[in-house]
Amino acid sequence: MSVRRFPLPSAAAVLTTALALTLTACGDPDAPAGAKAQAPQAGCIKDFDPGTDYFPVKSQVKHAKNFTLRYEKSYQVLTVKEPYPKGRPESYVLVKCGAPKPELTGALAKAQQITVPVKSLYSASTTHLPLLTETGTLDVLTGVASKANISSAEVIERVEEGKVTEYAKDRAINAETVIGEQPDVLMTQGTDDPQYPKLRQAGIAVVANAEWLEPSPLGRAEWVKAMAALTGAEKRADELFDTVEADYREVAEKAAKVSEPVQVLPGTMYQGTWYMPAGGSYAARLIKDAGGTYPWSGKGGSGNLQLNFEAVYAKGGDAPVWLADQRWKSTADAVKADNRYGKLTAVSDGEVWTNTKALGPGGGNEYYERGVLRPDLVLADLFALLHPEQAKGHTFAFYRQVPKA
Amino acid sequence: MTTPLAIEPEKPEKPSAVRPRRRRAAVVLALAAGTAALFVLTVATGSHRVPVAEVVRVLLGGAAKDPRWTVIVEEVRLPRALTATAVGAALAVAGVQMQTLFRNALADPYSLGVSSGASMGVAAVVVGTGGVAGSFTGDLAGLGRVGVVLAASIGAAAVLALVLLLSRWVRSAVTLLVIGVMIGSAATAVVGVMLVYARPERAQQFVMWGLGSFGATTWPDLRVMLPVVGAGLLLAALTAKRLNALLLGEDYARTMGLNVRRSRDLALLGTSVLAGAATAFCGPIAFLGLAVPHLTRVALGTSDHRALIPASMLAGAFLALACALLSQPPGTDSVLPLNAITSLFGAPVVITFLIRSRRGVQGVAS
Amino acid sequence: MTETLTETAAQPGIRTGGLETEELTVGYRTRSRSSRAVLSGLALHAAPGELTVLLGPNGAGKSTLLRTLCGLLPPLEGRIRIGGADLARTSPAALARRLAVVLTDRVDAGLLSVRELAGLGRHPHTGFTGRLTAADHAAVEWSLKAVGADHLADRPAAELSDGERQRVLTARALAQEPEVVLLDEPTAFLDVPSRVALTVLLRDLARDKGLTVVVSTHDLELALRVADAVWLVDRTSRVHAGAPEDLIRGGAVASAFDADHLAFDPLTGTFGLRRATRAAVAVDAPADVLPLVERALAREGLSVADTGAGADARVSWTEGSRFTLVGPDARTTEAHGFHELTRTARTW
Repeated sequence: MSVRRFPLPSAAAVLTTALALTLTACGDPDAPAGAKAQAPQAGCIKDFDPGTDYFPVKSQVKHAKNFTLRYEKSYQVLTVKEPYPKGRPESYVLVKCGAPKPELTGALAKAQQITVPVKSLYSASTTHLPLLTETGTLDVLTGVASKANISSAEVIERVEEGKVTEYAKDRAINAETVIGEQPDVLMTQGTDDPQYPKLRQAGIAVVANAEWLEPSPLGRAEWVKAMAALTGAEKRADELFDTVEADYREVAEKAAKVSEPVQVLPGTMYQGTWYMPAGGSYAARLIKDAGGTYPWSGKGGSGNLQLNFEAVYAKGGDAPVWLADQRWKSTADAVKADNRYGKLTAVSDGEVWTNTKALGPGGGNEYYERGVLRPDLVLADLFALLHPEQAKGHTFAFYRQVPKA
Repeated sequence: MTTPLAIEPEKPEKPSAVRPRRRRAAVVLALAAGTAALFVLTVATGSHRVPVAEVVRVLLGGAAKDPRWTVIVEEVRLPRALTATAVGAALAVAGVQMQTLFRNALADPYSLGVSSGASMGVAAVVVGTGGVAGSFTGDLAGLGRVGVVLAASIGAAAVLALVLLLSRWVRSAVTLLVIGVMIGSAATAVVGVMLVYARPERAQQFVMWGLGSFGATTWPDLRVMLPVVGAGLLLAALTAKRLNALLLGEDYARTMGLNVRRSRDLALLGTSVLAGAATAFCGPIAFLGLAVPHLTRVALGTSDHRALIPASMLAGAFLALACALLSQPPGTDSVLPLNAITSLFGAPVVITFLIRSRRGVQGVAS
Repeated sequence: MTETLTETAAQPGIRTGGLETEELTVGYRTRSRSSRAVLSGLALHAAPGELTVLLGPNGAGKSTLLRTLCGLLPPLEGRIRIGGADLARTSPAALARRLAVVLTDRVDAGLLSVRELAGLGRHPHTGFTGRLTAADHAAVEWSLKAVGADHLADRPAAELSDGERQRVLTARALAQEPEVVLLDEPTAFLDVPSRVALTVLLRDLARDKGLTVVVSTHDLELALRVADAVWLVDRTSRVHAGAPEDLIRGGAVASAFDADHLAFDPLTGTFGLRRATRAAVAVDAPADVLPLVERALAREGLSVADTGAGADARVSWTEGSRFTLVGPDARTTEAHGFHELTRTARTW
């Protein structure tokens, strides 16, 4: 499965930043054309009435654990519990445009107030782009950290029209650019950056998007609702999420009926250490929901376990399926990387699968971007490769079988 | 790793000479026994319980009852134990050579930038190649492990060549040391820039390489690494006499008839081969090369390289095996990063040892 | 060993033994292929069995000469012969078996025993591995005994006193079994007894073992007393050679070292403070006390009048170092001990 983030003590910050910045987005080409109708410019209040509830559509957060939404009549409070690893909770007061700024006390007195729907948004991570394209709110995107890795045709077109500013081309945020352009909001990549306090001081709202700290696949996908709270696309986001959830459930229920879960071997070895998703991780949850299991699925934690090959081989060497994450052309490449891979049953049987089917033109992997919003597709892939007899004719979105050599 | 020890047999006609020689023999014997014991322990224990009789059967070339046991002993444990032994010895001896050559207690195998050069090579392969997705050709996966090792070796060799070239014009060893440190920083800076533009998964692979590991080597690796390390150790053993002459400084060495420049080149070559091979296969392993020479000097009670080099080989192998065991405690599945073990567990042990030994870091002029 | 082992000693007719220079110019080559000569035209000879001392004021070029003689600096011109063999045509290894050196560098011997440190001197004699044979061990023991350091053999070299360390470094040089030993300021850090002991030791080594020993030193008086031969570099970069007495007699020592406040006394071979005499004092004291009184008064600028006549004042000694003083003003005072004597005399 994916080894997206490792709990590396050193360089962790650099890497997570690197990750979030370069993950290449790929917009969903099937995004409904009618979504444009919900453009954010629509929703300003005229003749404010304190008694009116200005949020007819209220998003319910069902799976995500890392953010909450609370509705008042003319504003809502978005709270991110862990805006970056080990960060303290941050709340943002999202005020419907046209409504007076609420006088708040207590914990919210110093919270940033953001007028919604926002008209301009800077995005630190390409994982945000599907959240915009699939809810038809791409118009608000006016800045990205780096253009290089965008792979969605829709977004690239917008960039080429000159409507998008690049503000962190060489990893470091160019604070002058951001302050000069004054976007309504900058959405973070779920890590901290020394520039963020400066931007806040300059009056730019910095809103954390820490979807990657969410252990459940549906929880990650549900962050589309946090984005919608900013863009005002609550209705479309709810519909989208409900579909994803229903599709996910359907596959999960099918998988639950399987008499015995299939043994899989997730993870990859680097320098002799096997990075295995911990039992509480995103990847572990997907495997479980797809009707699979692996020897460390009971080991808690949301990150990766670092295991020696001996343990992996002794406990999981005979698993019929191996879920790796390398871009191998054939199983011979795997054996070239470490000849001990050749001792795995899955390798000799040619049952090696990697999540590298959908690679963007810039080198990014859509699994890490669109896959975040579409766990239903990921789960369907996993179910199909674990139970091929029950998913005949399945078209894989992210996973591919590594040809046996 | 037992090379013949250049230690005098006890001579009854010189009773005063017996005491220090006996101590040295005892230290060397203890180290040899300890290394052998840890080697056995590393091969006999692990995450998975393999009966000792079966381990022995596999080591003798047979097949175990459970075919998995054969794989575990043959493909996992034995390569790891051999790697730790060889790399521990290599780094320790390289450290001895550097500390004596530069008469500096803080010199270590990496002081000349060899590991930075290796890092640069690895970064170039892991990070720099194959920018165009869809074509996998330039990918690390395409090159496999051979690519990483080759890149590290080329990087280390490039730095070595540069240092040796500069040493033609540099008379003072201290200047050379400063140059080496600067070359190292430059290489590290280049790596940093490469990482900025790297795809994150690849940057991660580089970071994992930097954590150091004895567990990554397989038999094809060992077939290259063991002869290279063996040659480096042999070269080092043959420079013992030269290094002894350098103990009093280069001027004294010259007046004793030593060709100082050639000795320096030989020691630099030996160090770089040893450190380069270790780094290429296991990543930059911290601490062993710096600490083992000090520990060994204090334990032996001498800076005489004819005793120090063989004893350092054993001590290095011993400590490396101990770190290997600690990083994968038997009975657990997990792996702790090797460099965390060498530094976090090793440093306090060494500091305690050196403070208790009263004389501290000695035997290296500063 | 990779050094070529060419012996160039067999040149009958030229061989004189010891250390010899011919038209030697020493100095430094500068970057631009030019050179700066420090001393030139040197024709010096240090004979076997003799202690030759290299003397001269600071900066006169003693170290440059010595470093050239031991092969660490190339000569600018001329030749050096060690035991008749041309130094320039002797391989480093062969040279090391003929010539050994004790340098000024303060060595940090580290974790070596005294025996091991001296044993380093066997380097030019041992084989490829540096393993010491029984003969090598014997040479080391001999060298330690020769410098009187055999009782220190098992001590860590790092724990030695300065004097002991210089002895051991000398033993290391002797362990090379050289014909010639060069020592650069070996007494520099030593206290007076150690200086005397080491200098005498070096002379005895030269005499007893037939070695050619060349020592540079600042310790003029001791050197002049002990040396068999002196090479004296004067202020004009001329080098005078000869027995100490030859140089004293010829005035070379005085001209090299005399300064405003220092005068060399050729008779005693020592330096005295040069001071104008204020007055003459008649002294009445027994012969064993008289020189001390004279010395004390000289410090106060007073000379002792040979006879009572012409004396401005008078000092009489009585038992128990009591002095009766009659000053120039004819007042009589008592002084107890030399300190009170000099304090009173200072007021005259």
